[in-house]
Amino acid sequence: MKKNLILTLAALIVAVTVTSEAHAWASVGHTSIAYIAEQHLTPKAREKCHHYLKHSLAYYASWQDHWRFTDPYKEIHYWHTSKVDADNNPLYNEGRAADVQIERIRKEMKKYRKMDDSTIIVNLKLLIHMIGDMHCPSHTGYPDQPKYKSYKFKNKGKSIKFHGFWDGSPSYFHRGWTCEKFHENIDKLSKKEIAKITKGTATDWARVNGIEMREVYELIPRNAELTELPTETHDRMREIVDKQILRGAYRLAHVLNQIFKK
Amino acid sequence: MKKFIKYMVCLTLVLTAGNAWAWNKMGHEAMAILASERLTPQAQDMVSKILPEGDLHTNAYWLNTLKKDNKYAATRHWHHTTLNAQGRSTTQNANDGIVQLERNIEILRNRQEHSDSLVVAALNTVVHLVGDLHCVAHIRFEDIPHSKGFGFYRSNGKSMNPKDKKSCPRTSWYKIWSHWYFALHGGFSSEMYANDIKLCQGDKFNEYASGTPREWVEDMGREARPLLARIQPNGVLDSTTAFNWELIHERCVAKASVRLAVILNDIFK
Repeated sequence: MKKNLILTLAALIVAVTVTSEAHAWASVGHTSIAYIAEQHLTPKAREKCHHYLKHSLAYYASWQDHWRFTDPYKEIHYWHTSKVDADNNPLYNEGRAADVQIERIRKEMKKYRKMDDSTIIVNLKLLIHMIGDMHCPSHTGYPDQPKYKSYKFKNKGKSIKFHGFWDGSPSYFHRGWTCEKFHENIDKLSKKEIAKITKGTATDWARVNGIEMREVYELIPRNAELTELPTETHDRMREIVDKQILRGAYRLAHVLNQIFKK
Repeated sequence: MKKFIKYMVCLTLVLTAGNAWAWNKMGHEAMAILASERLTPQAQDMVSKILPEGDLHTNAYWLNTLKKDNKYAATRHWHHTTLNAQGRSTTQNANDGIVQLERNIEILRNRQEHSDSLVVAALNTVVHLVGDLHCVAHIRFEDIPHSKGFGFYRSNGKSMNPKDKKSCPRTSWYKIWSHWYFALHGGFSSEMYANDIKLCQGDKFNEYASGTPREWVEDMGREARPLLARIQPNGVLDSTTAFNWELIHERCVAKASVRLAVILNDIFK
């Protein structure tokens, strides 16, 4: 009886801590990318971003998720992912692709001095979110390639979906981390490495994501139990998450620094 | 063995309490961090001498944890204030937050007459209550019965049909003002949130400083009343309004921080 009581209490404590930590916000990934990006802004770019946003980049990192179903922003609902074909060529998708919209805004913002503030503000919020989103492992789409469709597996016996898992993966692999912790622990690349990452356009980045994110479909077999996968697999998944967070962060900083360089 | 079981029960309660109110904690701490930046050197010196942690924010959440303990059940009523139908703060009810705020301010003013532990408790109470009394959901009105708390649906923009649970999740007046606006910023530390309030409020902080605690809760009444008129129990709040209200939420956090500093600077001058 006592043993059962103790076991029940222990299970309750575990359930409470795991459950609370499992309330992982997909927003944690976005805010961390934006926070790290802000650490790499030039003083001029930071000043301009704060001037327009009246907040940090991280504050609006999830803005596009919040407003995606609301007029007049309903079209942005389709701008959260990029898609590639079987040869990893990014698909235009009638403009409904993150990389396409990122490049559109980059081009538009070259003349930001002639734009009204409200347009600049929306553009900044979209860039902050979309550059983050396109680097989420589950945000590269492979239409007409059945091998790379979303599927289900299990975490501690509970069924979870591929997309939702990867959306929340920063919190899964780094429980309880704030944005500052992400910056402190993983933002360690050299200037040379960062320069290499930030080369190219969003479409180039989408192409690379198209090639590399196929791996995430191989790492977790359908209907597998996550906790029973080898440690090496967990390590590899964490590595991918950290790499994509940094890519998103450095590229976001690079885009903003370019926009506000003069 | 009994001791072990008691420990496990307490540990469970502590973990449950902390996690259940996790986002509310960020708001209190962020407010206290901002207030600390506005303290005079004398006030800062007294705070660091009185509080074991030496700062305002580490225990800014303290009264919420305390209220879970049945020994301090009476404090559960202190977190709210009630205004009359004209929006005036006239209550002398010892269970009202403004009355307790005034009492604890007096303890701090006359701290030489009180034990160290009471002075510590009073300071932590003042820090917490100033935060609470600047939360829209903690302002009640005699002529609005549902201001004590009610449930409604918050649309995500896709639908205004409350039967569509995915598009219109159920929420409550308390949850939206105490948790949801903070929860929009996952991964934020209290310091980060404080920094963002500074960015968005800019020079407006100074506008919030004048007045007395009673006038400040009346000011909060003017913030809260039109919002309560906008949504009824079991109604559906549209997403545009819900997100636009965040500006009001930010303003209230800023007001709380300035006013806490005003109180402490005055007590410790």
